[in-house]
Order: sequence, then C-alpha cells, then structure tokens
Amino acid sequence: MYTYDDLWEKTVKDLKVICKKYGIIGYSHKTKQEIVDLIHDFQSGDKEKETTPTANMNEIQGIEGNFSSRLTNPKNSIGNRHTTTVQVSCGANTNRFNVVGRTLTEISKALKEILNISDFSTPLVNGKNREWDYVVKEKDVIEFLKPAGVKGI
Amino acid sequence: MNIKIIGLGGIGSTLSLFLSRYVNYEKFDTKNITLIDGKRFEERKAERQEFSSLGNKALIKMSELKQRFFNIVYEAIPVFVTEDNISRIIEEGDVVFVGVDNHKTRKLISDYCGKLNDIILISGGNELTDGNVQLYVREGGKNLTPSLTDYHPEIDSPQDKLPTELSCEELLHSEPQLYFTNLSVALFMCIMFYNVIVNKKYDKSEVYFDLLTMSSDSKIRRPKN
Repeated sequence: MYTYDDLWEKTVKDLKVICKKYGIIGYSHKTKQEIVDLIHDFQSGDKEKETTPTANMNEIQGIEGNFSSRLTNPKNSIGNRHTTTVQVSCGANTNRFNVVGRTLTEISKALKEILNISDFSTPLVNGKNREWDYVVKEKDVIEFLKPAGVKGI
Repeated sequence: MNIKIIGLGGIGSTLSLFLSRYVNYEKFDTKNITLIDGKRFEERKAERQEFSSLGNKALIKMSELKQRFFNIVYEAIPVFVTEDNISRIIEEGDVVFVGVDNHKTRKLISDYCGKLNDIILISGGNELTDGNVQLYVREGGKNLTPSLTDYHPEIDSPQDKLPTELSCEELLHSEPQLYFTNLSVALFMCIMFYNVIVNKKYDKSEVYFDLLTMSSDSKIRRPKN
C-alpha cells in the first residue's frame, strides 16, 4: 500500500510498473498526476473493501444485492470511462464483480461461497483454460468450470 | 429420426415419456426410439422412477410407451453399453440421449461418437439439487460443439466404473437423489433437443441449473479439436 506522497516520489516508469502489478488499465497516455490518482483510487477501493465487516460465510443462506460498475476514472468524458466489473460464473451461478487486477486464485477464494465454486473447478478466461495466477483484465469473462453431474439413475 | 435413449433411471424414464409425446405428434419422416438399459427396476426407486412392473427397465418402459404412442416404433435393448457392443447400439445419424450414472460410460459414448461423421449426443447428469446437460454435435466428420470430455477432465479421466465392472454390492449402492432434479435434467435435455433439431441452434452447448438458487445458465463453448 503506497501513500499519496510515496507515489509522488516515484518516477512515471515506476508508477506504470505499479499499475501493471495491480492490473490497472488505461495509464499509458496519462500524466504523472493522473497515474498517481489512478493508483491512489485503486488502493482506496481496496481499503474500503478491507474495512468492510465480513460475515460468517457458513451462516449465509442466500445473498441478495445490487451489483454496480466501478469506473476507473469517473471524471473522464463519456466514452473514456471504463467499467472494472467482469462476468464471473460457476455452473448456474453468475454475476458481475469488481475483480480486475486480481488473480484467479484470489477470485476463486473470495467468491467460493457466493458462486458455489467447487474445489475441483478449473478456470476458463474468455473460453480458454488459464493458470491460476492469471491476472484478470477488463472485459474478461471468467468461468470456474463446475464438474458435470454424475448421477441420473 | 432414430433416437437412442441410454439409461432409463430417474432421468431417462421421464425423458422417454416427454420425448415420445413430442415425437409422436411431430412431422418426422421416421419415428424410431430405442431404449437401452441393462438394469432392473427396483421397488426402492419408485419415488423417482415410474415403471408399471418389476423387471428390466428397457423392456418394461418399451411396453408402456407402445400402448400410448402409436406413431412411434420402439425397440428395447436390455444391456449396458460397453466397448464390445457400442458399435451395434449407436449408428451414424442417430440422436443419442444419455442419462447414465457414471462418467466412464459418458466417456465411452462421447469417444465413440467422436469417430462418427454425423451424430447428435445429449447427455445429462445431476447431484442432489443441481445438474447439467451437454450437447455434442458432429456434422460431416467435424465437431460443431465440444465433446463431453473437452471441458470436463472428470469425464475425460473417469474415476468410476462401468456398470458391468461393478460388484453386486456396488450395484445396489446409490446416493440419495431428488425426483425434481431428475425432472429438471430431463426437461433441459428436451429443450436442447428442440433447439438443435427444430431451431438448428447449438452455440450454447452446455447448461447448468441449480434448484436451490432457482437459476440456470447456458454456456457458449468452442470445440477443442
């Protein structure tokens, strides 16, 4: 986690490395100020997430909610705004989540209960098999393959 | 149209009725349905399976359906599908429905269909409250959809056995199942059949459903070979 000052002390080159590490997109033609804002906003999003109280997942019987897109830069003009939510599914369960920049391992752990992801599931990104350390990008479509049902007789 | 239904348990016995009703009144040139299962109907499974008497499932179901749907020619093959007999059971141009209870048979059938030029294979399976249906279509020797094994390593390398490899004790063992889940699989298999035969649509080649969340989701997948 970098403070605003930490970020300012870094070179543009170093900032771009951080963006890449976090999976932040759209930084290539930005000024230093804009890149620092991007990283700072991204980290703030993370901090909010960390401080949100977590429920005991074993006690959750069902989940109901509205999922909204998060914009990487809401101040941009219409057309240059980017949503960072991507579709993630496992079996019949599907929804959009703010997981850009996360690895498939992290996503699978975070959404295990919500999407009922099996320990035997393997990941597909845009229909192709990927390694668990793949970092999710904007517009990716993620599927954790649910094993086929066995019975029928 | 030559339809083969392999496995006449909770899914297949229901499916055979749904399918017969549709085929009987539609304008197909030929209407042949072959029922294949080596198992006997057991009274303890009456909560999920409807048979009028005890005995081999394929033979009983054939006699029941024959009395209801006069436009269809039925045949019963009272055996389990094995490597030795599969070439006599599945033929070019067939529409094959699979409602068996093991992945080894699914792989055997999928691999065999992969050697044929034209085939439509619809396979369904379930756990207690969820399940899935897969569609495998080959036309002119090419895969138009993934095989049953393309995206399912658990079917490609099955850890279970064919019914012919099971001991009597193993044959009697069965996990609890829910009639509604079997019904859902059978219904989705019919929907898949309708889409591929009537609407010529096969882009969504797999569908999952979950009774507890009351949801379903179909997947677009490309064949790997």
